[in-house]
Formats: sequence, C-alpha cells, structure tokens
Amino acid sequence: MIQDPSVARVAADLEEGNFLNGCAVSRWRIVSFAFPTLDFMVSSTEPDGTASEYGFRAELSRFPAQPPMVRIWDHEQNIPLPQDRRPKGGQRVQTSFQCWGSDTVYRPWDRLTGSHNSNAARYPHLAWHPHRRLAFVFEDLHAILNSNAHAQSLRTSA
Amino acid sequence: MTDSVDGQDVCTGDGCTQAHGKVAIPVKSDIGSDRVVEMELGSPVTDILGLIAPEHGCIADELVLAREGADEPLTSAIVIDQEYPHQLRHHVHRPGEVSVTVFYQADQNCRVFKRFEAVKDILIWAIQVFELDAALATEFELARRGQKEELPGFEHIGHLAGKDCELALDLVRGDIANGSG
Repeated sequence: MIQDPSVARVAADLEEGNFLNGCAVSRWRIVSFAFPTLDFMVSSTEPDGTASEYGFRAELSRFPAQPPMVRIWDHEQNIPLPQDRRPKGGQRVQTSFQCWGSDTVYRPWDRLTGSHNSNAARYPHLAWHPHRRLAFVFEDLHAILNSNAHAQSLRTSA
Repeated sequence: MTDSVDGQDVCTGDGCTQAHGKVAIPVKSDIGSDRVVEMELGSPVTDILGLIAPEHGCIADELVLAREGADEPLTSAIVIDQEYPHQLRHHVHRPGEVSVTVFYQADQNCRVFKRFEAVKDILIWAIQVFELDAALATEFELARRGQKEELPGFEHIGHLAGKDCELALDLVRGDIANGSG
C-alpha cells in the first residue's frame, strides 16, 4: 500500500521546532488531526486587550505542493464562524477574516486567496511555496490576531 | 517513588535529592538553527551552553542562555528538575546588547535592546516613539531594512543581529491581500 507523502510531511511539520514552540507557549493548539483535515485554535488579543482564541480548519491535501486551505471555524457547531463572531480590529484583521466568496482566510498563502486577484503574485513574501512549513501559517494568523495588542500598548502607556 | 522521563526512571519521592534520567529541551542558537538537546535531570540548565559553545568557537562563559518569554537570562543556579519547563524553547545568545535603529518614512529612532528581547518589544517601542495613532497601530509590523518579509513578533533580537551589535529595521504597514469576493 502506498502512503500519501503529504501525510508524512504534515506530520513532520507538526513536530517541527517552531510549531512545537508555539504550542508550548500557548500561541496555538491542535484540536484534532485526521488527514487531510487539521482543526486548531490560535490565541488572540481582542481590541479591549482581553485574551481569547479562534478556531480554524485547514484542508491539507497534496501538501505542501498545494497550498493549505484554511477557514475560520466554529468547532462546536462544525460550521464556518458566523460573521458577527469573527475577530474585530483594524483593517488587516477585518480583511483577513472577512466573509467572501470562498470564505477562506483572506491571506496570500491560502489556496483560494492566493489565486484570487493575483494575491500570491502580488505578495510573494506572504504567498505559499512548498518550502514553507505549516508554522508559517500559524505565525501569520497569530500575528494578525494579536495586532490589537499594538494599540493596547499605546493606551496603557498613555 | 519513581516516575519515567523518556523511558528512564526518575526519583520523585520526598526523600530523593538526586533525579536520574534525561529530558529533551528545544534550543535555538541562530536563525534556522533549532535542535533538541538531551540534558540530565539534576544538572544546571546553563550546561546547555557547554554543548553549543564549540559550534560558536567560544567557551560557555561567552554565551547567554534565555528561556522563551523570560525577562532575564538563566543562571547556573537553576537546575533542571522534574518541575522545570523543559518543553519551552531555550535561546543561546552572544553577550552584550543590540543597538536597534528603526526607520519610518523620513524619520529614524535608535534604542539599545537586550538580545533576548523580542521583535514585538521593538514594535511596541517604535509605535510609541513614532507617535502612531492607536487606530493605525494594529496595521504595523517590522521588517529588516529594505526588505518586505514581516518579522515574527516573538523572534529574539539576538537571532536577527547574529554576531553584530547593530540592527536596522523598517516600520512598515503590514500587507493586506487585495480585494474580496
């Protein structure tokens, strides 16, 4: 029986140093993994400075040749997170987690966003390529979800 | 009373003063240089430096060890025991500080940071010193001078600077993918 090499590659990425470190310091956590579906949570900072976390579902078939397809997800209801419960914040936050036609995370590394409006070509430093590791996606999500902390630092220092 | 760490017996009872066995500790000594080292329970955490120093062509005393998220470097008084948070990444840095210059539009500001401080610490300082509006602050990131790749907020300054004592960064608007469906 021939095993899909994508399975081994995803497993390796979930054991990679950057990924494990993010788990160890609670930046993100895995909810479940049954290839090709990876359910996970990423910690977040709300506009008022409180800590929270958001769920995501990644579809990883043909990984890493094919970019991951990631949706913001309500794991309890097993549906895309309704718009009124999506992350609040600046323009990057709103655009990244907007409801759009394909309703994936609107970042250039996403499978459907990358090909939409030539986003992958416009932003190659944010686009997916097969040499990237899964931690790249988690780090990007974590950075956007915690961008409210930048503004919070100004308020606390004022 | 014994427990098992990585398949080896470890003393856990009140009467035990010496633990036996090993724990795996993730260590980062440079950008892209992640590894896991095995350390004996009961040994000073700074023994990690003895493993890394030869790769840097120096002795352990010439390096500094910091744990992810900590505000101060680790000392030899800290012993790896069963309660030790060995799963957290440990960072090896050269001694000394880094003079960080941040460029924004036609302005620039400079401040000295410790090597185990993180990019997010520079970012928070830069947002304040350039007096950015709170509403815009969420949109900014740091990139190496002249580059576009946004730096992860938790990357240690020492890893970015490497052997150098100076680091130049640009304060940039984080890119937003174009449009919606």
